[in-house]
Amino acid sequence: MEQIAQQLMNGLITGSAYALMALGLALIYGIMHVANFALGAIYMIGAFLMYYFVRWVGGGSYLLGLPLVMVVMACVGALTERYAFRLVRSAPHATGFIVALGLYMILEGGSCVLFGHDWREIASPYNDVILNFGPVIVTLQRLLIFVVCVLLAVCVYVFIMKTLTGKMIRATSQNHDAASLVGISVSRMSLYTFGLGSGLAAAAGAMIAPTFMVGPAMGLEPVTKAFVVIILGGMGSVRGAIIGGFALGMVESLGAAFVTSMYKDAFAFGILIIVLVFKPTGLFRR
Amino acid sequence: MKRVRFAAMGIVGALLLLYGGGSPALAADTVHIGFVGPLTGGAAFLGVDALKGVKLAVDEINEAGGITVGGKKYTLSVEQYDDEATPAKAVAGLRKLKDRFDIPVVIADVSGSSMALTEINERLGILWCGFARHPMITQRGNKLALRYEGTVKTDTDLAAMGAVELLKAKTYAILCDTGDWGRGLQENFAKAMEERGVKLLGTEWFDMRKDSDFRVQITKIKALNPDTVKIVAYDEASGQIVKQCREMGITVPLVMTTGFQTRGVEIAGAENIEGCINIIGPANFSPLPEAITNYRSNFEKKYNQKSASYGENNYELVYAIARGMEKSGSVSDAHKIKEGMMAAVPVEKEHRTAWLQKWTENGDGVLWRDVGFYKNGELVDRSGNLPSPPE
Repeated sequence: MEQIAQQLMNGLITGSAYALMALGLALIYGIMHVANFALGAIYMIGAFLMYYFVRWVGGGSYLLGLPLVMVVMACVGALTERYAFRLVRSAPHATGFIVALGLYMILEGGSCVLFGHDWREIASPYNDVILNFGPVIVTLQRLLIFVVCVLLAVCVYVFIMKTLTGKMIRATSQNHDAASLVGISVSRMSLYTFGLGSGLAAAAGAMIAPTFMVGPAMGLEPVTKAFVVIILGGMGSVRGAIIGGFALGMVESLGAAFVTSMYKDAFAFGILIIVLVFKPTGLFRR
Repeated sequence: MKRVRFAAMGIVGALLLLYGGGSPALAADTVHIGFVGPLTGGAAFLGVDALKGVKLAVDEINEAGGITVGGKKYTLSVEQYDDEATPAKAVAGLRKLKDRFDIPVVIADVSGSSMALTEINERLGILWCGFARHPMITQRGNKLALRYEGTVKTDTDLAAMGAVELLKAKTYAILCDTGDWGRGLQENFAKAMEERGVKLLGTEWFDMRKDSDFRVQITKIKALNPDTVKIVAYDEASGQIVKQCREMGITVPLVMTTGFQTRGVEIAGAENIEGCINIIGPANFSPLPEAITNYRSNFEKKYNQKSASYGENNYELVYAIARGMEKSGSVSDAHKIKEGMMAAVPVEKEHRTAWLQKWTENGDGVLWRDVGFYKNGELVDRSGNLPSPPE
């Protein structure tokens, strides 16, 4: 019983990281119909920015660094939209994916040159605070991952569903031409969405990194899992990305805990195949 | 259209100059040594440090006038290939290095890649060297393999002895990387513990190249309540696993591997590894051998960063290759170079950073090793003292 409770907590926290990353990916896919693989690099650079922020300002200011990292990486994401993805907006989908892949490699390679290959630790003070909820043990840092993820997801959901800009983004994602006809600037909506998606990915990187380490290769695994989540949840679905992320985290944790840890990734891809067999458009159709 | 054509011609011309101009394979006075290892990706910390150790040795040898083989002077040159710790890429890399530079020797240190390389190196006439630990590398009858380390069996026997004598363990669990090195270590450690009557309660797996959160596996192991846990991972990953184990409430002393080095100790924290056991090597001696002190100082001067242990091993290996070529009288015949290397070790004291004493018949290295435990962050011998160099 104790083990089940602990594994559920493990799954919830893993899932929250997946959900945050997948949310960014889903938003961008909704607008551009491009699976932006470069978000893995954005995630990684966000973590590096947080590392340097904490080094310069001190561990006590860790949480203050989060909005800064998000804003900076949102600008970087917007730049990628303006100077890379916008140029291929009218091209076939595969072109956009290739651009994303190329961008990922450039950013990862550039990070190796700029930051080096060594793995580094972020000295977050919340990592050393261990909380006990009955039989369940969790560090404050990991609890913060869950709290921040839920907060950001709620904020993004409210923004997309309730605000005028959010409605414009949704309109653009449904039909670019129709949106243009009613006076919505597709380019501007695209810019905002890329910025928002990149900010979310950077937040995920900055929150996760203190629980392990920061290195140029850290972005590949999360973005791959985020892909699985958005396919599982329904391409472009915000709700699907959030619920899919948590679902994937739970399936992975519980599968590894009660079946075998040797093929942990197989559970993620296995559940994807099962869902797609019965619901090819994903759990939540856009 | 004209502009596009000129641009294309310019690119082709640049590529020709870069890759085709003055092919190094034609130079009569340069010996090319291949290096195949992870220079990017999750295992890059190992490959980059290992390569830097190779380059440091090569530069030193060249600055001292190179090597003299058969009355002729040669300089050494390192030709590197990034295999991202992927066996398929390692094989492709070896073929490319052979085609372009006609390398007689390749250094490769990751077990998975080395297992793949040693399937084809004999056919290509290339001597494989490196500190990859998987026993099968040298146990398949490969006549062109020299391991600059013992197999994992040496370490697992010592570790099992430590677990029984020092930790008095009656039960244990293993938390292990899924790569070839990890599996080799897990198999041999399980065998060694079984021989000593210690019961295995469970084995949990992870991929240290991708995974960063080991709490699922640690939670399972905690529920088994073992007397000790064997952690099989490289440096940084080991350090993180130790931290996460302590955080999740596993308080028993742990059995570490030679993959757990200075960086891992920093990450784990001295208080979290108190009483844990590990294998002692020359890098743990007090006082530190002069060769190792000089290596670390020169490494720091050249690369402006601290060295890890991977380059230390390869540094001595390059000197063994150089002396082997001089002794054998050949810079191209892999079989002769191998014979020369076997006769040339141990290398001169001032370059002895790994302390290889000799090779066995099948190409496994014999190095000085013992088991010890951590005391105030330092690895001490069985009696609790800092280990000193043997007479």
